[in-house]
Amino acid sequence: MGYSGARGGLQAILAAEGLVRRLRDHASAPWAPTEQVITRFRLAVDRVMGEAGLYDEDSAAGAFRQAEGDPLEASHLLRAYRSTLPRLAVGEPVDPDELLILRRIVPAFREPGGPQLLGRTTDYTGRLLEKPAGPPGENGQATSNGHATNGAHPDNGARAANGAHRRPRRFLDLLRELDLAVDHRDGSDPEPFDITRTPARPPAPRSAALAAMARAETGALVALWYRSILGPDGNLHEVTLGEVRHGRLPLRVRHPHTGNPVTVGEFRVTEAEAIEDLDGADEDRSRFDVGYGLCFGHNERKAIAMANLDIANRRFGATGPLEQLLLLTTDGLDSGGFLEHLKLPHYVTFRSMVERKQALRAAQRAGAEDVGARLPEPVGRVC
Amino acid sequence: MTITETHFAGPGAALSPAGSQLAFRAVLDALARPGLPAQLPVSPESEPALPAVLLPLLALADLGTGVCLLGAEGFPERDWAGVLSTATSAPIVALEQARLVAAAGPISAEEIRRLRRGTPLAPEEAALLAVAVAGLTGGPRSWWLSGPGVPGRRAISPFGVPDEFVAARADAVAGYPAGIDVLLVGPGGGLLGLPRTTIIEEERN
Repeated sequence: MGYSGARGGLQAILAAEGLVRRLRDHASAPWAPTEQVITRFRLAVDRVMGEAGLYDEDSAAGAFRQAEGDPLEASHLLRAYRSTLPRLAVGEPVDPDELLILRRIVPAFREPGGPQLLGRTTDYTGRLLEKPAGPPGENGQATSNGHATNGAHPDNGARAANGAHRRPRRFLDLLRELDLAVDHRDGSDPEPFDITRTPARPPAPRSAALAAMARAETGALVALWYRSILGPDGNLHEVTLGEVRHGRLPLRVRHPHTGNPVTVGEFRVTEAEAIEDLDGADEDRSRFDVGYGLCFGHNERKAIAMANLDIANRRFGATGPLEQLLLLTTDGLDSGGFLEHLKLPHYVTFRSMVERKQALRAAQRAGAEDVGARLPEPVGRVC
Repeated sequence: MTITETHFAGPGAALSPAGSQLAFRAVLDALARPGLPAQLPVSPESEPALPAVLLPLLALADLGTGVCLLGAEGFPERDWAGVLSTATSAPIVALEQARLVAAAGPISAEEIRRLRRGTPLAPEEAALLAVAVAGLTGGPRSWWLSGPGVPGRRAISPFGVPDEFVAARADAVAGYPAGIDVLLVGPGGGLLGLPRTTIIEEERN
């Protein structure tokens, strides 16, 4: 640690902070109320909630605005805020079959039990930049690719559907019926690992890896997923996506007096199940492996990467670098924080490095024999 | 400072966010500047009077921090441990396991030595002890404080602290960074902080 040089310059620091505040809060454009941030930058807000590990749209939207749209900085603000909140209760375990779907697709199967409900998605829309001169008109506004929306409320499809359609049968259940899925459930249901209290280090239980992925920086997780799929590590994958869902789950806690579970709210999650063809020599080649992903808000990239990496981690995590990469490098606050800290004054650190070089050179000039010989250094040097 | 009932939210003793923040700030200030008094947001109107020594715990405790209450027999009017637990969801645990300890009466040297000190790798798991004293000034001895947060030396003279307190506390903080942090709480909610880094030299007046 060599940051003790970060003294003085208080006026300069205050002025820099003032510059941020003035240009952000008194910009020559209307103030963006929290509601506007939530509704118009929904996916950014969801991403911030997921990466911070706190489900609260208002706070996440406020953080996003305060961070001037930087999702990682917003996650940092929100996670710092989270750490000040008292832990009042532990939520009851929730069964994802209770998910009330807003969107659900099964890419692996044309007619799964229940609907293929597209919901709110741009998956099938051409990526054409719209340059509207003003705010869009009311109903029937043509979209840039010519499809008319017919004034349909995006949620209408989901709202109109009846109960069974809102909680459709899971595709995995079908695979299990056909005895095509490897069953990893061994009946033991240990308390999930809480990465918010104890950092997870390899070897870690599956719940720790899943929690780390649920809170990981989305880009970092997708990059790790792509590395795993493309195969520089030599891991071969044949991946299909079983199911992707976005919907609402109830939050239940035990009533402090009666002890009965009561629903105190709901939260949106994205859930994904990936299917992988097992072909390893010591694997059950007559069945598929299934991986699971679940994260706060609507963030399909993260949930899908997570579901695939869940399988990859089970298959290759312990034999290669994957588990370490997953647990130690995907947290945005961790990696981003380390990067950002490099900008803080390192005057003392660097001066000691310069002095080491000078001492080495002085010793070389003096003709010492073994100067410059390398001594073994401990693993994990501190910068 | 006049603090109203608005710092207590609803029935029981749960602090409102503002009250909780004031108590947190007072604890932070007291521990940052050992020996300089801070003020907890006591509520003279609350009935029966909430012992001020409980305020730091009400502000800081939650599900993850075991709490322990010593000397509660001095306040028989209510089950204060129960009140604390209901208000914060904090589990009541044995003295050795508690992260937050309130001593409503004099605490013995033996009890101080039993407090959790954390470990060099996890010094944050140590106990924070809030101990009620009869007064923050007017004691029979001067304690000369030095260490981080004290420019040079600073003298305090708390009243109503057991004789063996300083020696027992010195034992508890000997294994820095493990050790205990102490808050001395006066009857009116005045607060003196003695973090584990503070050195106390006792001198008879």
